[in-house]
Amino acid sequence: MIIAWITLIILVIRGITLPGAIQGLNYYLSPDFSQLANLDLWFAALSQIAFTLSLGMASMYAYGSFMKQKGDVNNNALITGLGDGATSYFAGFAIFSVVGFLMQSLSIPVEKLVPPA
Amino acid sequence: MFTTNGGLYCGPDLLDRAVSFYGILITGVLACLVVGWVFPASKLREYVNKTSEFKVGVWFDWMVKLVVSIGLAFVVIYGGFIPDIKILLWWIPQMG
Repeated sequence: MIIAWITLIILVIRGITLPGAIQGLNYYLSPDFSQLANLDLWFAALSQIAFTLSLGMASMYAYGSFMKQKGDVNNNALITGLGDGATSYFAGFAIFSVVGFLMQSLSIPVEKLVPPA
Repeated sequence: MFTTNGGLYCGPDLLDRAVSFYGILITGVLACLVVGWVFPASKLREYVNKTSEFKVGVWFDWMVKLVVSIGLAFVVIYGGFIPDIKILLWWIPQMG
């Protein structure tokens, strides 16, 4: 499982060193708070978090049957939740640096390249 | 059937929607409501606090009861639950 994170780090490093990646990263990291009123955004974000944290898939019952009676639940839950969010955020770096590279090599402004959610 | 040209809609589209929308999300909403209100989440919180390093406060109860239920219910309703019900009950106006 550590191979997944090592691959992600390699992809992020390869993405950042591409020319023109900074435009994509600017688009990624600049917050647009007026989008908070957009219901489509909430729909996409909530469905994404429900599916990556495996909310309704009974996987928690299956994993829970293997834990000890005195297992440390809060610690596990915190690490799982925050680690999942952090990995998604880190993967966004790899994706948007490639978007920036495409923006520069094809000279298209970012609104045409990133489809609206 | 899933490998035929006509049944291609059944395979990924229909089954994906059935499982991932109705299966997982509605089960999640119902599980949150049952664990939050019927088996009160305070019982769960006390047991977990006894065996853990971090303690969670009473905000955990309100998160499970309100925030997660309303969030997942919003995903269900916004993702097309009401048009699905309308399509499912198309035969009602025909009977009159």
